[in-house]
Amino acid sequence: MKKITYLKALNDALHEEMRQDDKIIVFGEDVAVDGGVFCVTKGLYEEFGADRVMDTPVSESAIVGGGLGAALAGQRPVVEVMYTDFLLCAFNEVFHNVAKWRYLNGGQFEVPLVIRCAEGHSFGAGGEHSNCFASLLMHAPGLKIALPSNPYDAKGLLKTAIRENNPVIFLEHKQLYQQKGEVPEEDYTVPFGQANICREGSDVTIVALSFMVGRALEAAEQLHNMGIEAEVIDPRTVAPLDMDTIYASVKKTKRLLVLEEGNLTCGVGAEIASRAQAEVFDYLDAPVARIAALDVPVPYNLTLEAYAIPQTNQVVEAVQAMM
Amino acid sequence: MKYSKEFLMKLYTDLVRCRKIEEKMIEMYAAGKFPGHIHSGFGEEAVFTGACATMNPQDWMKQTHRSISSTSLKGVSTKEIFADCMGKKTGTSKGIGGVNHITSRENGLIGLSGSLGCDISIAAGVALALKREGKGGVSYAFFGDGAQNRGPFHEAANLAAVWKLPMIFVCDNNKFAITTPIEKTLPVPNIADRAAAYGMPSRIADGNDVLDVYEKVSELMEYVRAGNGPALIECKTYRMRGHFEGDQVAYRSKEVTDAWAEKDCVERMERRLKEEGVLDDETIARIRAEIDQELDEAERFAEESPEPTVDEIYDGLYA
Amino acid sequence: MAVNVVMPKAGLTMTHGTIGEWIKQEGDRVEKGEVILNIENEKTTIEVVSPHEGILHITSEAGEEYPISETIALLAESDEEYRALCAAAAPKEEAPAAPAQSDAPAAGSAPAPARPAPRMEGGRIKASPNARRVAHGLGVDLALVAGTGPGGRIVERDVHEFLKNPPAAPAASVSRQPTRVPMTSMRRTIARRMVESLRDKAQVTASVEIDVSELVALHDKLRAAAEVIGTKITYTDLFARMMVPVLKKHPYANSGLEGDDILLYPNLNLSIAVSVDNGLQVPVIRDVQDMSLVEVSQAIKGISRKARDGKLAASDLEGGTFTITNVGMFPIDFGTPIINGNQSTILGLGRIIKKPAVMENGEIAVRSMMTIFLTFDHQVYDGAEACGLMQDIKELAEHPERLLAQ
Repeated sequence: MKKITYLKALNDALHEEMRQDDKIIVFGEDVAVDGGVFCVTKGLYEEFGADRVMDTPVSESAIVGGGLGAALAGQRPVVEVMYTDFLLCAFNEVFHNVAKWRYLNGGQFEVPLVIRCAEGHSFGAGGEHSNCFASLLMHAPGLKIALPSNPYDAKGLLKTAIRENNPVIFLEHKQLYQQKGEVPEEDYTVPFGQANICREGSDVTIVALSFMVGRALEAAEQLHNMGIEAEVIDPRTVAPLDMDTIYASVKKTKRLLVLEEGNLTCGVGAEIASRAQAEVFDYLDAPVARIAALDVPVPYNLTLEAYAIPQTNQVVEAVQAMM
Repeated sequence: MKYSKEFLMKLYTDLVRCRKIEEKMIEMYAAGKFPGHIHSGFGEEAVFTGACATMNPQDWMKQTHRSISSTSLKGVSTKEIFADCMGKKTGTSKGIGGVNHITSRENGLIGLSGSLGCDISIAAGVALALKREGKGGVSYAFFGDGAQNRGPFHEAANLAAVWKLPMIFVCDNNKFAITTPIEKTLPVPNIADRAAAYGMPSRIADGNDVLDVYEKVSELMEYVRAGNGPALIECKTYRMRGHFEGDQVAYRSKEVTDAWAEKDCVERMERRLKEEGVLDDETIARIRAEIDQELDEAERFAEESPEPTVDEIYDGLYA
Repeated sequence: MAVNVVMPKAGLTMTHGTIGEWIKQEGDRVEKGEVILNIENEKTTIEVVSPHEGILHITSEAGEEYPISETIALLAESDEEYRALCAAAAPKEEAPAAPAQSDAPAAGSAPAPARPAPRMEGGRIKASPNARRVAHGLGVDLALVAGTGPGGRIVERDVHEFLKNPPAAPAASVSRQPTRVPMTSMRRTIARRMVESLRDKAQVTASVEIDVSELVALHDKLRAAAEVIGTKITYTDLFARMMVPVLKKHPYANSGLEGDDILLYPNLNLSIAVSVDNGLQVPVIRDVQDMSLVEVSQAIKGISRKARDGKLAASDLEGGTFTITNVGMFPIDFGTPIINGNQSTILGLGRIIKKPAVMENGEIAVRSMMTIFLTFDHQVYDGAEACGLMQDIKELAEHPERLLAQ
């Protein structure tokens, strides 16, 4: 085991996988020579050369569409769209093409494509550089979506994504890049569709995504001091989504709260809450609670930005109101 | 250019087959045998036949929504084409994709995206893969005059050019994007003029002359196969029927359409080959009869084929 | 596995039933098919048999209403299971074995359910789905549970709390607060019908005192010959038989109303008021016009027994055209009876009392006197008719031998 940053864990995954399979190529804006604006692809160009690591023009369509084409014709591209927000410049390519190419063409093609994006708030990055919209992507049948919340999951999930023969949108959170955590030296993967119970508890189930897992754990600690034991679950992937772990937890705790950084309306929490009330209705002592960003674009002003996205004390108060 | 008799016969046969496929599709559609819409490529067959005649087995292709018959030039049987049009399980998309998603992975036919033009960057990605493979494969991207105004065409052209990808952009300029004539949407005289903006060589071909298309594409393919990067060809032709079958084209002049009919690509090729002694009426009749029989069998096959069942609705969503 | 005993559906339109009397008690071992309790619906009392053998654990309250199919008791397979069921449930408060004998709330003998459960608009108990599931499994009546969850709703811990610490009977408040006794279904039905009758009919009561000395003599003779004639004739029997010729003469007194139409009934279906343990029943004897005095007597006896045994069928209570109520045995002279059902007349019979009377010849003699009183619906007929009717009854009662000629 070694303690490394989330960023290094991703970088290690890329290096290790590219060494194993010559078909893996990486391209996107500033990923090659510069090593990526967030430094995730640092060193790849030096090790694998211009044949496998390429800088693209500012052209998400070329990145996403090009990635799909290369995947259809036998390569295993891991492309980067710098900010999740920009993925929308090629949303047609993502939603209609990447997600649907296999299905619409009778299952003839495999799409071993990974699209990596950085999401989330960044202290004044503003309304078009701070988005989290896993829920928009969940709405497209055919995609897989991963959101690691720590270095261990980051490396394990990225390896799984690269080895997958299905398209994966890999959502990294900007505020997690510098987070340190224990990561094994040997090769390992984290499977998709398997939620992680980060903390066990008996009074309330808190399902949290990505960066918000940290806030959920903080809230759980505060609640513990108040005599309320929270169970924190990190789904790790929202497509496929491990609801069974959540159902089992709610049957134990009788209360469910979903915490995410994306906007409240039609967020991931809406889907989880809906499935939970359908499946474990008779085990609920309170309605399912959702805590998410306010339904506004993320403001530039730091106070407003902090206010717009969920804070730990909101989680604590919401749980208390459910008891 | 001097061509062998075999080459010309094959070219002609392919052209006629495309024509007959287009005609048969119009017929079957009118008889209510297809769900949805079809976009007939009647009259434009020379563009695809001529371009595909330059292909090697390791080349890949992205077709467009018009001249579905072009898929027959890249290894898809007429049985499969008609089965796809009818939404049957025996089609290449197993009834899921329909007329716009006829593909063949083993033959390098990747299909198209219904949001036209957005798939051109996909063709660029294919070119990237072919370049890496190093077997000399080229990615052919067919698209219309309407689609080339979409952003992704420009992004793909740009990327292909800066990365020197083995790709040929083939524009089927039939002068109409649904009801909008090209004059209203193109600020330069020719689509081919745009190639220069991306540092690509270009040609303009007579889209109703299969040999002219073949020759011009061949010239560009020399450049592309040498690893110089992409090229673009604009084939000027005319959309003889509506955007979709049933479109009454009230927005067009019948005189103009009739004038183009005089330049029909099949009739022209027949005349030329008869003049050169490559074909006679008997041979023409035989070729036509053989194709007719092939298409009748294909229609029957498609009609008798089973439909996919609801139990199979999730099949193919994930690998 | 404990077997559920549920509120049965014992009538086509029955939706609820009230727990009447537990024939078997808490902890009794019962056989399959044994009668274990009586329930009441709006019509009658029904016996409930055990669906299975086992040890009875009661989870419902006598006098409380439950919807059909709801569990009202459990049958444990073994002593062990029974103990487990009891351990899960609180020792029940002493539920009344049967509803109170009189209508007055008996202070303290029928402990009122405290009704602490939070309710939503419309009366539904506010409890979480989880609490409902747990309560059902433990046989806890949510109506008795207080809620401490969000919005005041009952949550799981409240159910467990209820079992650990069942609420004590409100002792200090008994002397200040009235004892609340919920109505049985029978009481509710009677109440509703009485009010409806008074609301919808223009009821006037008239009375007359009659000299029944001759009738008493006849009655006593018939009584002495009870074995010969096969039945003990009563005064009610005699008046019932008398109404046949009288109502022939006064058809409007044997009628009902439908909108603006008076319905003249072709037969005399006599409703006889019978006092029963829990209240009042008014069963019907059909076609009295075709019966002899003995037949009338036997019919009245039969139906009265059935009423007192709680075995009346719905059909026994329907179709009456004229009612007699004999209150002489209480004893009272006079009342203002309320018309029953879709009828126009009710005849009340007061007590027979020896009184001094002035005879035709001016002498004073001791005579048996009875007051008869009649409430009629002034919508259907008027005082003159009512008085004529009463006169005819008087004449026949004072000259009972005339019955032979009718």
